[in-house]
Amino acid sequence: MQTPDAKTQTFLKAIEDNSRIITKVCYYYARDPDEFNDLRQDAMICLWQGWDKFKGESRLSTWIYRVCLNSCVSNFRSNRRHSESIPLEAMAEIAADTSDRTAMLSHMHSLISRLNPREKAVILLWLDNYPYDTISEIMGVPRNTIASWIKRIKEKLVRLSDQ
Amino acid sequence: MKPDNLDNIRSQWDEANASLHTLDEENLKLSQKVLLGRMITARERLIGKYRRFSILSAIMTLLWPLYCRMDIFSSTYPWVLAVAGCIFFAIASVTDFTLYQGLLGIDVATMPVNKVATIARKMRRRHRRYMLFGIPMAALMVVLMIISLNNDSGIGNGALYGIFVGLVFGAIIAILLYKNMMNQYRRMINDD
Repeated sequence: MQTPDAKTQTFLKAIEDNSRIITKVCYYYARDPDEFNDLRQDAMICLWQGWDKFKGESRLSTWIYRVCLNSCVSNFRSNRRHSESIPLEAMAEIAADTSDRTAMLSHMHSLISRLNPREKAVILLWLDNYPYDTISEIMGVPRNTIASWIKRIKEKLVRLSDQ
Repeated sequence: MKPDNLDNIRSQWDEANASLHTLDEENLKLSQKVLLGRMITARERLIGKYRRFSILSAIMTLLWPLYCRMDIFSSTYPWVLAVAGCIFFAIASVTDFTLYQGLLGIDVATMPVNKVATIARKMRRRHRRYMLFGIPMAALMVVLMIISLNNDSGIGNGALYGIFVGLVFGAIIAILLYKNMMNQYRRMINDD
């Protein structure tokens, strides 16, 4: 068992090393900047509260990814209005980036936002090049099911893109 | 877009998301804030709300019959009002308790994502079904209360006007809450 200081230091180091995962997952589950900040805060709280439950059965980054996804899929949005007039892209320097990848990022965000929470989780893991076995472990469904889900989600994204 | 495009996007995914990571520096500050204070998630706030309402409804189930014996209600219908109220509050208490238990059962640190998503979806749908039942029941309760008002109890016009004003404000608040809830449900339905 770690001392409180060692636990805190390990936690902060883990957040620093895996910051990209937290940002990316919360970004794709959020509809606006307020929601992004709420999701990110909730994910951080869940990671800290669950820190003692990580026993090393998987890689730390895989565990963090799973907790962030769980935090986002089980997020019950508050009643308060979110500032929908500020687009999510304005948060990052995406607005200043004029390269093609900005258009791709915005387009993918708008497509992924139309998937349900479970579909979002699967497609994000697939886009991040996680092998099917790892996706299966994170999602808690058989590998064959993952393969079939990914095929259906890809077809759905193509359909949504053509609309 | 063709399916091949998705494979291309996948190969460029890290690069496409590079500009997102200007937001990463906030994460460390946020994690330090989390370590400092007792912060709770939106789900935990909702769990607290369900628990409080469950307890409150259970108390109302016991107190409601006593309230119906007050002189402001006529002697003709208070038993109907009492029974309807007890049923309403008992059902509300049980439903809030099941929602509280359901959400409490979610362990984001150890459960696989599919299980968490399934439970969350089930709770949202259950909440929606309870509201479809609960709102008409509440409206029926209000109607029964109005019917049961005792004009001969000598409570006077002042009190009646007070009841009427309370009803109007209550209706406005109820309509606003209902609209808010319907907006939430629309988003929940899209998520499902």
